[in-house]
Amino acid sequence: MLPLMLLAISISSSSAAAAAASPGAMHNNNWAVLVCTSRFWFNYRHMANTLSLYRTVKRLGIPDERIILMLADDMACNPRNNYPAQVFNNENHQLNLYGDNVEVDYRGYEVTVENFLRVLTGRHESAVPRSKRLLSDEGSHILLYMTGHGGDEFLKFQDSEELQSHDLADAVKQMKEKHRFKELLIMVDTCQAATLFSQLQSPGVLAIGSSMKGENSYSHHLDSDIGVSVVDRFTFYTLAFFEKLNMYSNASLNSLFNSYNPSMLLSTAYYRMDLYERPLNEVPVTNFFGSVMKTIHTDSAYSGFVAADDVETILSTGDNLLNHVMLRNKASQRRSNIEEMKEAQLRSHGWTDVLLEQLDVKNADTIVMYGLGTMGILLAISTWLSM
Amino acid sequence: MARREEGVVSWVTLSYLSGGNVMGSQNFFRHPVERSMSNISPKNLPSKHYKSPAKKATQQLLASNHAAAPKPHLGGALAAPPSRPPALRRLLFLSLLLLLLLASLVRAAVAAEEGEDEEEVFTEELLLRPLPDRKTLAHFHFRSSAPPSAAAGRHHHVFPKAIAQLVQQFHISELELSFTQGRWNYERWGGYDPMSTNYAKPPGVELWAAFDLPLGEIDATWKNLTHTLSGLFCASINFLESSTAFSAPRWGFKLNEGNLRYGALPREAVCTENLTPWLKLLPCRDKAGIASLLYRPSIYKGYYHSQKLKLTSSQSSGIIIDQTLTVVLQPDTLRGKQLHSTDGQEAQLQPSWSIKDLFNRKLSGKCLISKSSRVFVEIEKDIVDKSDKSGAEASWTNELFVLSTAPNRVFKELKDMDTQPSSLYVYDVSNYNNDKPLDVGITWKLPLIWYCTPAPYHANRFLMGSGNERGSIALSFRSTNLRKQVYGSSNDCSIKAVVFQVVPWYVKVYYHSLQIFIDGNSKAISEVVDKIHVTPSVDKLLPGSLEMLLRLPCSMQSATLSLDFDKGFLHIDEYPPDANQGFDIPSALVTFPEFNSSRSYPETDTLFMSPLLQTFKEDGVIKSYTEVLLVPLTTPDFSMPYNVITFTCTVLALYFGSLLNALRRRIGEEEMELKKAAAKRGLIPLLIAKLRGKKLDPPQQGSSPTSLVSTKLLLKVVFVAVVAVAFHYLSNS
Repeated sequence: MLPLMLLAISISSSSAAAAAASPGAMHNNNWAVLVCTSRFWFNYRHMANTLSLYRTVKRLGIPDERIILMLADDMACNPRNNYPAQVFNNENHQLNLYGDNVEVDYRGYEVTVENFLRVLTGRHESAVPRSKRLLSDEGSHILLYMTGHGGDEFLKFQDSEELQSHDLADAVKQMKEKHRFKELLIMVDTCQAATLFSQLQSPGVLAIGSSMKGENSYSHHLDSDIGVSVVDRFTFYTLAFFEKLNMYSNASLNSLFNSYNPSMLLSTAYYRMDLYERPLNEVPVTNFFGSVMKTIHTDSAYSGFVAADDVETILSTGDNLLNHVMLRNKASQRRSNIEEMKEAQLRSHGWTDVLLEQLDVKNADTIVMYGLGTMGILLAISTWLSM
Repeated sequence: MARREEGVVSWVTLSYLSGGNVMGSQNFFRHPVERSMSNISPKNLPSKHYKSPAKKATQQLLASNHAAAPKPHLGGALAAPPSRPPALRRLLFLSLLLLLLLASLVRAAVAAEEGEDEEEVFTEELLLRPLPDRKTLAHFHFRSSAPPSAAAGRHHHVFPKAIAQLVQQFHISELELSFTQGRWNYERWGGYDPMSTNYAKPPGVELWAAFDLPLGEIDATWKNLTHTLSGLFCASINFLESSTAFSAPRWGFKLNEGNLRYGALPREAVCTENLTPWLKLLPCRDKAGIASLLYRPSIYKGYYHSQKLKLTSSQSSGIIIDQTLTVVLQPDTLRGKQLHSTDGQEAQLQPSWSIKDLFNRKLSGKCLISKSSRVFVEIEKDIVDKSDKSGAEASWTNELFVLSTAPNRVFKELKDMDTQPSSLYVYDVSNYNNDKPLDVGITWKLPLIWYCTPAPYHANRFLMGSGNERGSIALSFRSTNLRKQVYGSSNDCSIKAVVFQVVPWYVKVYYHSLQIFIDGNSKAISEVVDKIHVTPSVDKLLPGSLEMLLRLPCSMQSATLSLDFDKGFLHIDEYPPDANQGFDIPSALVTFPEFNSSRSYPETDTLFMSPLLQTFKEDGVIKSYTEVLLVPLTTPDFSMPYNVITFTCTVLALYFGSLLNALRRRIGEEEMELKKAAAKRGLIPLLIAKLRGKKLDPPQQGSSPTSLVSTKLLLKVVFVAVVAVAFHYLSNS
């Protein structure tokens, strides 16, 4: 009996290990981590930003238990709020973001860099309840939205701490190592948001920032009843894009990215997609902002429950997996093709290699000066010849 | 045990028979299991002996499933044999169905007869009371109870599973969690009635729990409990986890054998996200019944808002949770007519209001699952007194006020003294529905001033001293002369008062410096203090707690206690982000054990079961919470060192710069050299100098630029020459 059990255990563990190791895990769940890092009443808009995204992802199908909402301050029941228990992101006050069904997982003093990194990496104290954990797996698509005040390669938490781009990249790397996500979309609405992504290296990560280095992200409009600005431009136009959508629409990430108009944002939205494999025009936004799963048709009913052992179901899901693999192969092939072409172009001028080498090694300034000098001489000779 | 399982089976049979309808309602009864399950993390089970009940529970669930499962098969099997004629088959099937139905009915009846107290009961109640300062008190009371179960973790119908799991896992015998915003105004809203005793709470979060565990395991369990509650109620209750945040009072808060833990977070925000999970514990949530009145913007607009969860669990009575929400609202006075009178404020009518004015909606029917659903309107005894004096009977319509709807019954408080009792007008919500919603209200006819009975003393707490170093906490008692009113004026008696306060470690209280002044005269401590228990604070480890039994003379008008303290220094990481705001010290609790706020009402029939009145009848010693104190601590300021560095550097630079200037500069020589340079300067050296991007050099060096030949310079010269040639050529052509 005992050896049998041991055998069973070893088999199950090895199969689990195999499943964990396989890179082609299917996308089977969605998570969202929404973070507002600013405290104090005048940062009302940051909370409104976060709550708007919360409402959007909930509307598009991510359930509350898969959303980690971090709000650094209490705006809804703030004594300065003229509208108790309500938060608006628009002057027209049509939409109460703080409805009857908001579940805030981390709030107030709990919103710290430490807790944020703990949520991402999953290294909690054992007593922390499951509702405060990001229980994602290798099939998860995670949306990470952050808003607050930031600068060159950092994001401020509550005016007292900073999250640096290295910390973020490190956390993402850990998540990748621990198979905590399949794909991760990081969306940041702060000043100089693009700089926060500079250290990211993990594959499967897509990043959108509201502004480039050296640019500010501005608020959209002021509500004179509430007395402060109620929403940021980047988030406002993101929401404007999503308000037109429902769970079943097929809008791609590409269309989202193209919807940002720098003259409306007053900043340049930045996308980092070199770590991301799939072509953006084929990825629906609901892959990150909603929870829409692919339905797999099986021939026999209920075979899903015995999928662990049944060969037939593996076959039936197999072609789906195959599709995935093929897609990926195509993408990587295309990528490598482009790279090769570039290299070939460079090689056609042999001396550019020498030049590049020179530029790398010596003082670039002197070389440029030499170049200018020779050009001047050439010019002189040519004019002389033309005379 | 066996009988219960039978009950389950019969219920399943019924649901099978009646099809989708029952299944639908079963869905409706579902509790927020996802969240509850997700909140109790399996990792933090304190030890292995907690695991057995859960396992048992699953086994039992499995068992009931097993019992349920064969039923559809039975039907299928009966319908299956093709050899019989169809009519006969149908007859057989029908008769079997009938039999099953009968059997289940009989079982249900038997169960109802035998175990009236065995079922889970939910009741909902709302109490409305006009307050003297033109405001209105609304008190929601929901009670769910689960019978004691031999096997822990049985199936629940109405009772929230999240709470049952909590009780099981942490072995809680009593627990009280309150979220409060605003402060109860003891002077105006009363301090001597069950409402203020039970439902006036300190601002922020207050949590206490008594455990049914060996003393050594309690602290660890408390920590896990705080985390679980923080997940369950979307609040940062987990800050009570650290040993600096909670204390273990022995008798000052509630008499116990060391199994009670108490913690408070005075600055915790209270908002919708705390109410939502609280409502999810109710079987109808806020979709039906009295809870549907909870329109968020109106209840959070109030002056006082306290949401409480009280849980008692015992082997004999099972688990009972009382969920209460107490709000003090300002009715919309636009509707209330003002009496045209020149007498000023005194002639102003109290605002008339109805449920619609308070909550923006009417009450349309009860929660169908609730056993009883009632609305009470309480008129205080002072008003009843006045209406009686004016000659009218205390009915729902008299010359002082009119209730908009006729009550189903009226209760009068039983009192053996000469004072008038308060009266309660009861409305049974089950008589109302969507077409005929309940919108009870009160309309005042005459201007009226009345007072609520205060506690024997008003307790206040404040800070004394100035500066950042020394200060003292003062607790003052002010007599309300209640004793004289109630018991006559005998001066050789004394009144007991118990003080309980917890102070965080960074406020280092010197307990030896306790001073007591009675009516301005200093008194020896032994004269006043009967009993004292002090737990001194330990830096970054334990808060200081003080439990003190005072005996105050009846004739006393005011008493002040003062304790000196020093402010500690926190580590840089321990400061909150808004440290400049100061640090809150939780409220102190003052109890008057000789005064009891319980009320007695005439005995009613057993069917009239009201948890609200039950709590009113219970013994409740008079309690009042003092204010939260705000202590400013020295906060770290990084701009200060920065400022110091910049200032000192500026001063140093100015000093050394001028000193060097004075010592080293030779003005005569400089002038001579300048003159020379001016004389020798030509166009070419100027150009060269410009090209090199330097200031004018002394001409000795400038005259021999070729000696410092650098390729860069040469190139620049060549470049300029080429440009000049090109320009010359172009201008020529």
